[in-house]
Amino acid sequence: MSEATENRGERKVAIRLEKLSKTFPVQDEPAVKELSMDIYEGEIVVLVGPSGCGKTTTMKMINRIIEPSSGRIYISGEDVTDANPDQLRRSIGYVIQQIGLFPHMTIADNIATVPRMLGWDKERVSSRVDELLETVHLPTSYRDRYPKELSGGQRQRIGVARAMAADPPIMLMDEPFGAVDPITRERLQDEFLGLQQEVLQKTIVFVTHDIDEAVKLGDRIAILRDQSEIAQYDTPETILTDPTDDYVEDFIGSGASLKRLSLSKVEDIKTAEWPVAHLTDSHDDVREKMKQSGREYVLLLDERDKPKRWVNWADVEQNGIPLKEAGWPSVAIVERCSSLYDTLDTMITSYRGSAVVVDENEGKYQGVVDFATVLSAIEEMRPQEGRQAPDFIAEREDLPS
Amino acid sequence: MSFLEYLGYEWDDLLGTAIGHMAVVLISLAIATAIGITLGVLTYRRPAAAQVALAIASTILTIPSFALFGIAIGIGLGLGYPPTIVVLTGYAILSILRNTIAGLRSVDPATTESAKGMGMSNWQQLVRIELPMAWPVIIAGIRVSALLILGIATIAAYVGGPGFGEPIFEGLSTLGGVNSLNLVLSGMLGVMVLALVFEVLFAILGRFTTSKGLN
Repeated sequence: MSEATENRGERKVAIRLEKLSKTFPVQDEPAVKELSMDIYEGEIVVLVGPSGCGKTTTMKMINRIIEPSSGRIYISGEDVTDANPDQLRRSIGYVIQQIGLFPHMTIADNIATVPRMLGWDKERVSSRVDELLETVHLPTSYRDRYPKELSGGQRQRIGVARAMAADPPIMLMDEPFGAVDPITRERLQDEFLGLQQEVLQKTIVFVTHDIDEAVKLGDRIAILRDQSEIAQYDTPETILTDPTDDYVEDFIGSGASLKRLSLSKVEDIKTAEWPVAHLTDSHDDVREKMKQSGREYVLLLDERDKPKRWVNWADVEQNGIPLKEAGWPSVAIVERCSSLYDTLDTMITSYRGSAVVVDENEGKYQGVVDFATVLSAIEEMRPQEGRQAPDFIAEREDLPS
Repeated sequence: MSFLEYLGYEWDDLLGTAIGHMAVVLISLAIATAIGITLGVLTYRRPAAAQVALAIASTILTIPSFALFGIAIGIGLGLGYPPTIVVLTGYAILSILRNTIAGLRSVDPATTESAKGMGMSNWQQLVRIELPMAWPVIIAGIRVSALLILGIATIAAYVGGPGFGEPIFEGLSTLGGVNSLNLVLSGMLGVMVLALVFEVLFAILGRFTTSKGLN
């Protein structure tokens, strides 16, 4: 039994790199120097660092597109450093920035590449192709198209579908969303995250130079310096709030606290108490609620509990104006799964400096977030003096074990 | 006798000549394609070896065809088909080899890397990815070679080879004779017609053997 099969807590090591080095023939200095790291099953680990730090070389050594000069690679506990590379690669999904679709093959044939090499029968291959097209949100009528007939974003989706075709437990992705426009990139990232949470739950090694992408996608991030030396390897939350040194701090760049906000969701924080009334209530009731709460505004909901209007004392002092026309419409609305970053953005542009939280499905009122709520949430994120950085494994219950 | 009358009179013979001409070109082309693609595949990733192969193939092309046919007989290939095919093959290799190397090198490295990353062996990469992608360039090379040796094949009459060289040589040797101009004209026009036929064949072949994804 090798050491690599050892569990840490509940979680199995999917990939273990042990003192991995690579020196290219014409260079004196190694591109990767004695890198050791463990990657657990089902997690997305992002390798991030400046150009030329060796992150791509590191990733390409996992499926031995680049053969290591020294060190060992273990996959699911098995030493694959000297295994047959073609066999090894068929069990590891591989997506590169340029995608590398085969231009002379149809989309279906592109996706079917690995299943066919593994000897799947025709029907199984065909239904898998349909299934994957659906998974990446493309119509099955695209089967017979050629890569040149697709947009950049669509090609990227096919690249991901092709890598997933034989359902490999591990995927390697080298800046897969690098070559598309920012809007498409964001959409692809969101889809990818949704996919990973709902269906894939694969072990993914993701390479990028973009710290924002790393923070968004990574369960853990390895920030690398020259020669693939690990500067910090931890959850994005910890890296943003507690960078180990100046290098990491510089790399995260300014606005680390704001980036941290994009990792928390509204449902994670305590919303503010706020008086609410219904549009069907009488003016007296509304005035009464306002007095009791001591707040200057009351939020009015419709019969389905959807937030409609804000009213203050002056709006309801007289019974003259009907409630559904009084005050201001409530437009700053966020969902419970919205990030604090987006919530803050909504609040800043709204006129009352607060946002109403609703549930995703029916839009029912859940609470109100104001600046005081967000500030106290930020307070809680700061690492406390003398306290150890939180153990990510204990904290990450949402990951599959 | 006018040229048209001559054509009507000699039609059967000319058709046989055309078939012989075409056959010798097609056979040579097939052999040259096999040699050119094989050499290209063996050398496209080794710049020094590719240089040597291309240099040799170019050198063959610089040898005057009369001389080369002479050498072919000199080394004991006899007369007729064998020396003709050997010489034509030699001339046809260069552009097929050059285009095979260029075509294989033009394949986007990202495509081969992703093929490799998916677990294709070197052979699978070559047969399933690189050669199909290089094919339009390779077939263009075969076409150029075909046109080249269609012309050179006329010289083969010198070593008793088949084809339109026969009427041309005969016409030249009887210059001033009754049908000498008609003989030369029929040979020349015959080669031109064959060239057109080849162009059409290659256009059709290229269309049906190239993936629609590459156009």
